[in-house]
Amino acid sequence: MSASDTPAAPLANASPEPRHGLRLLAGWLTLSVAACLAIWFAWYPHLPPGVTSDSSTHQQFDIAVLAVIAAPVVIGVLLYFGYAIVVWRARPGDEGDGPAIYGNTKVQATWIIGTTMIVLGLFVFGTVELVGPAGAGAGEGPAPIWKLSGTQTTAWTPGGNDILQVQVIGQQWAFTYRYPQFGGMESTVLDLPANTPIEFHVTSLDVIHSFWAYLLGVKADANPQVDNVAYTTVKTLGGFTVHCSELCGIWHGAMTTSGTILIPGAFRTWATGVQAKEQSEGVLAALPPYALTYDPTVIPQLGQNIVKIDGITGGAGYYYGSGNPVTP
Amino acid sequence: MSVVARAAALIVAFLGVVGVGVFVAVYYIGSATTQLPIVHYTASSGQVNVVLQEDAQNDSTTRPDWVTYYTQDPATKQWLHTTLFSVPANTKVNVTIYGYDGCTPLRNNFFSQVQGTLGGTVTVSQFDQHGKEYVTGKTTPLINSWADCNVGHSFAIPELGVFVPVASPNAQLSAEDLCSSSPCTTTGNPYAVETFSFMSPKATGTYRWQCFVPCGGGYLDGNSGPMGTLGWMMGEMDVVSA
Amino acid sequence: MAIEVQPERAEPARHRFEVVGANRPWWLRPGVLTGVIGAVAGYFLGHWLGNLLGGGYDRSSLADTNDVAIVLGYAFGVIGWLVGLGVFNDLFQMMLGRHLREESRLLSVREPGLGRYFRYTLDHKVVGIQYLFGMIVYFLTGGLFAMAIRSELLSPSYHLIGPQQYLMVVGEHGTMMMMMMSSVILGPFGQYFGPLLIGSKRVAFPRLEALGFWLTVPAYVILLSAVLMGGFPTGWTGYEPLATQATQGEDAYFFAFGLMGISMILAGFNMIVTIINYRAPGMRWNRLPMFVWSMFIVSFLQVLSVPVLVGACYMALVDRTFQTAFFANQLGGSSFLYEDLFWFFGHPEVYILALPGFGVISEIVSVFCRKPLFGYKVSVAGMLGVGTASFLVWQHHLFDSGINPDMRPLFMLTTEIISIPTGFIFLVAMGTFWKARIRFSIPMLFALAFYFNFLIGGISGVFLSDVPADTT
Repeated sequence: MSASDTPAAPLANASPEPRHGLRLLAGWLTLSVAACLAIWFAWYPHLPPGVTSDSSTHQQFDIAVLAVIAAPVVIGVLLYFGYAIVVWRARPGDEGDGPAIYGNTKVQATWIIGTTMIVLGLFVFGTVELVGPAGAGAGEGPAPIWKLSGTQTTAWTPGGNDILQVQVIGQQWAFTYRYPQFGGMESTVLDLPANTPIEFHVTSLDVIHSFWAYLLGVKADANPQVDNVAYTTVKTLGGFTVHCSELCGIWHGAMTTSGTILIPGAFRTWATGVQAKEQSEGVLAALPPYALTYDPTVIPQLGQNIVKIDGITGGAGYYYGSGNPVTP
Repeated sequence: MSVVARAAALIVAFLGVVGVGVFVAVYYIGSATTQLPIVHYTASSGQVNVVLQEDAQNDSTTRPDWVTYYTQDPATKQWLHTTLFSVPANTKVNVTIYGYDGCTPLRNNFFSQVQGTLGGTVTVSQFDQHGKEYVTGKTTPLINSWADCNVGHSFAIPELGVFVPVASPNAQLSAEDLCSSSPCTTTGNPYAVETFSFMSPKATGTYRWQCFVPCGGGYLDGNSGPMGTLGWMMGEMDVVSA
Repeated sequence: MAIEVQPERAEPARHRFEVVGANRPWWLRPGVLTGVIGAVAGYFLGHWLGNLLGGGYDRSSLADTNDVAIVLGYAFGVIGWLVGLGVFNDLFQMMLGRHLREESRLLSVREPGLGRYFRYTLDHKVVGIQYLFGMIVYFLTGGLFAMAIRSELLSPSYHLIGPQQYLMVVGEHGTMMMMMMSSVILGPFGQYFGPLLIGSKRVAFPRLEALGFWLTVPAYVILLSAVLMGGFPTGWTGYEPLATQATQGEDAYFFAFGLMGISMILAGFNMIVTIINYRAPGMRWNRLPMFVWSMFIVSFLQVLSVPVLVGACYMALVDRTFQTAFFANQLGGSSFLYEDLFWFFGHPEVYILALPGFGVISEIVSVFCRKPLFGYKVSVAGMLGVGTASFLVWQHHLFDSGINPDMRPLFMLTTEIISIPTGFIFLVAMGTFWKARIRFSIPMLFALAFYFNFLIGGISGVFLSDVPADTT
């Protein structure tokens, strides 16, 4: 990086101009290598979100790779600025100007080409990491293109490659979870089987929420009348927490639920147990038929008395007037 | 203007701005929750009795049409327009709720199921406007808000896993003769009484509670207005050391 | 490319304008005082009209609230404020065919004093100072709200303010900062220094410029009035359908944002025309100071992206007042529509905040390094690239929201690409620092801090543009 400039005013002891470029390069190389090694071997295992699921493992890997690529850039810029403010500060009494360097095509071209290559490489990397792990745990909307391979079944059995479908219903201010393969039973806790492909269908009953299971590496917005699909496969056993990550009103921050990852046999026992309990108490009959989205018009089909006697057609509110058949 | 006069004017203006800011902070932002009284329930023989009622209208001047809960002060037996109360930790909490508001379907009928109470059930009695008890002491794990329309609101403490539908007069009675003054009394209008119990947690702290019926009339999806304001359809239960 | 070759003389041409002899006392002249009177009168008129129009809605009697009255009150209040301020005086005089009373643009020369800062004035330097003080007040208010947030967060168990008030404070802080601060450099520094740096005595549309400032005052007051109504629960992004569901404070949010948007459009429009048409002879494009380039590009961003926000605010307001269903999914509207409209504005908005900063520090570093800026063309290309590309990246705010999955690699690409022109700013800085004679004055320290801060910001942008990392 030698600039084509005229030499500055000769210093008193006339020592040759130090090779700033070489110094900076040497320092940068040393620090970068050290930082990259430290990031990859020391920091990577502890990076969020951890290795609980397939998606989270991939996300952790992505963050580590990005950090390894970003570290030399950050170190380069900081080192340069640090060097500059030490070496090139104006000495007391020096009222002179710096050399009038208007540009340097080689430097500019190197920078532009270098940054472009890094950035395009990261784009390719990001796309591969998004497509490969079936959308990387992000919500893909109602028509997902990157899906997990597995069998779609109406009754889930452990051990095979059956995809477990879980519907996440966001409402103000709690998440509930429906398992269509277990009779459509609904639960306030999210228990999941390990080593099984899981298909989340995230929807909302009122405003926009967002299903964020941090340790599972899944985040999908819950919009009313929209089915947002996200995939993951959970690997390790243990507990996890679900937060809402889209501001949905006053108790948005309190909308947390917990979940546990169980071995598939134990999960099946739990799910069938809840299904049986809800069946015997009449809850299953009271729930609407399982659908990918819900709107209040299903209420009149199941509650004739409400319509006939009280004239209530929807889930109340009446913002749009009682004559409106949908009354969101 | 002279320098002194300008300096004085600037200082006065600055102090004025600061004063306005402090006023806004203290008066508006800081005062709203402190204006709501907290009803303190103390244990007797290892239990506390919390008594609430929910009404279709209320006695406030600014929002007379908002539905609301009232809490009964255990000492004076007066109904206070608040939803903040405190119970001691690790105690059996017996809750009695008077349902004076008419029935409204739950947006998610899953909350028709009683969860988190001792025994997993609630006990419901329903009365018509003449005081006749047409449902006596029915203990049930489910009050289906869509089929029978017997649910007015709900009482849920999500952090403790307590979700309870609150009974109301049935569909026929909800269409006529509902209580129109607040806080309501048991004479002259239909109502429902519901009792259930749960154990207060060992850890002290503040636990939020809310209703899951979209009863904020005039608001989209019914979940704003009273549903989202402390002192109306949502509140806080303080668990204090016994 | 019209360059003004006949710059106006320093004195007003007396045959064109009548000079009012004895000036009226300050409280009788149109200014802030008459503006306030007009605003109050307008608010009451609008509120009454709103009650007349909207009082009969079902929802008004169920919810005991009438958003029509509030919104019309704000609208008429703003019109009353502008009328009282004297914004329309010259317009009406010209429409009636009368001579204008005073050459108010050059009033500051004949009438120095504090009074001109409280009036509708056409002098760009006075408007710049007005903006400066206005922005200080708005920034201070936003900062005080931030202090309230911090005070509440000091302890996890002791609560200074309740949950609803905390949500209100967070929303007010965010909105005050993002909304008002978008003009924090274009306003004070752009209006004051812009014409000076291009060698012009005036801006192209002094009335629009002053109007742009005077609209920020009602926007500020209206946003603060949300505090009196319990605040708004949506935070600064105002997502629907929560915003339609919210109580009255949300009207204040949308109205204030829309008003500020109009102010930004006018300021940007004026700046573009000034820079294109009012450069002094010899001020070629490749000689324009870096700060002027940044003002020019930011003005395009404002003129092109802010109307989308104003549209979104307008639709949200009619959803809230007249029960339209633009954003109600169950009735055929779409919550995604609001998200897209908002973020189509929202991403250029953050570059509206950042680009003037790039311009300012480019000027500062070249002075305090005692050498010319390294790579003038690269720097301009960087700012132009950032400005253009900022319109192509907004979906990165919506990666997990359920958009079409095949959109995400596309926006990953554009978001990664926008970091290239942003990097040029650093290239230029690093080149300017090479063998410089650096003086550590306060502006230089700020510039160094800027580079440190933006390094973090820029690199974290590269992380977040990667969808899996963004999901974490």
